[in-house]
Amino acid sequence: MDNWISNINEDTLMKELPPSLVATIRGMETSGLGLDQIGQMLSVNPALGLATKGAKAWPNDLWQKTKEELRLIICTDNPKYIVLRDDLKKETNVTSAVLLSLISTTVSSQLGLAAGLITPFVVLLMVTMVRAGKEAWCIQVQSSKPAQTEQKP
Amino acid sequence: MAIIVVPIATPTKVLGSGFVAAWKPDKLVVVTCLHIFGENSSNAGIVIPPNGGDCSRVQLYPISGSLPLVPVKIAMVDPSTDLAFLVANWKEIIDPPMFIDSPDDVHVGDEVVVITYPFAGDVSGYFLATWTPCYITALGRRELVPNIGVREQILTYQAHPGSSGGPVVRRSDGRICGVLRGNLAPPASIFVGGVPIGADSSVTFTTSAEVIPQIINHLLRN
Repeated sequence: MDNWISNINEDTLMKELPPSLVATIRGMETSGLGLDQIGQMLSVNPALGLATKGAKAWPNDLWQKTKEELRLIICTDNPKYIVLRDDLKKETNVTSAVLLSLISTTVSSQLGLAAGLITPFVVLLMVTMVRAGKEAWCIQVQSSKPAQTEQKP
Repeated sequence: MAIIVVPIATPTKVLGSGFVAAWKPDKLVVVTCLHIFGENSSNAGIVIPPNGGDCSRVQLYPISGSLPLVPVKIAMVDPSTDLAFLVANWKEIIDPPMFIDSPDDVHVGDEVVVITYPFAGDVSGYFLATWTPCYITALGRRELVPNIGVREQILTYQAHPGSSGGPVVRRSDGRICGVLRGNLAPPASIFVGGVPIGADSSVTFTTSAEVIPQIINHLLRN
């Protein structure tokens, strides 16, 4: 499982993003924000501050949703990603771009979204994982999950 | 040189407008707003209206039957600027439009034209691209965090459902200077059928377009 993670490189992941977005992310990091805060802010940004007539389409919780799906892929054996995990295991000598594409496409499909919409969020999450290491990242993501609200009959 | 503006849609719903920003052999790059996409947008494409997306030509309506939907790949998105770059297979050569080089190339008072498909698909068979002149009334910098922001232009234009993603063209030289995002609206507006009521202000925001050529170059290189 971890072999493909060792193929991930932060610089090559960031090259998959538009230069304007990379500059924004770097600038936000320089101003003291963590990648989790940046991902959260970027997730709500497209529809922020406007009564755009189509703004209701954009899912503002994309960061949290993508993070949870990546947690299921990387930190658990959840059966819904069994095929993806097998595919990732086979990819021993591939670039970060190929891994990114595989993960983004599969997660997008699970979330009912067009492939490509979540790529920046997957990149940011994978960068946080590369920086922290898999084990630490899994603990961090698990502990940052919003508390489940109690279901009353 | 005509700027080709097309509706962005799924087989069941029009999402917004977009415009051809680049062409290289067999590939077309269309730019639109990111926020028009949401759930159930996985089979989005560009609609080819009878006028070919050239709003200077006579446009037929109502259109009976369905229009061709060309599948696209969402190849690159930038949530900070609210831009999405779509790539479609396309053989016919298209002259790409020109863009402003810097956000400071436009000024308050400049006359611009907004080309969009307002209400496209909301009325059966209605796909009219409209060419609407207006003015830049303010230059903005939408701040994400202190010192990090996105340049915008504010226009005297009333946005409608379907307008998001349309190009804003400087009238003096035909360069694209912005991508329409949406309008400012009073808070607590009521939505009926997804349309905000009492929100028809003519204070409309655009993303400044100078970032587009750089992103397209990056996209085509990759």
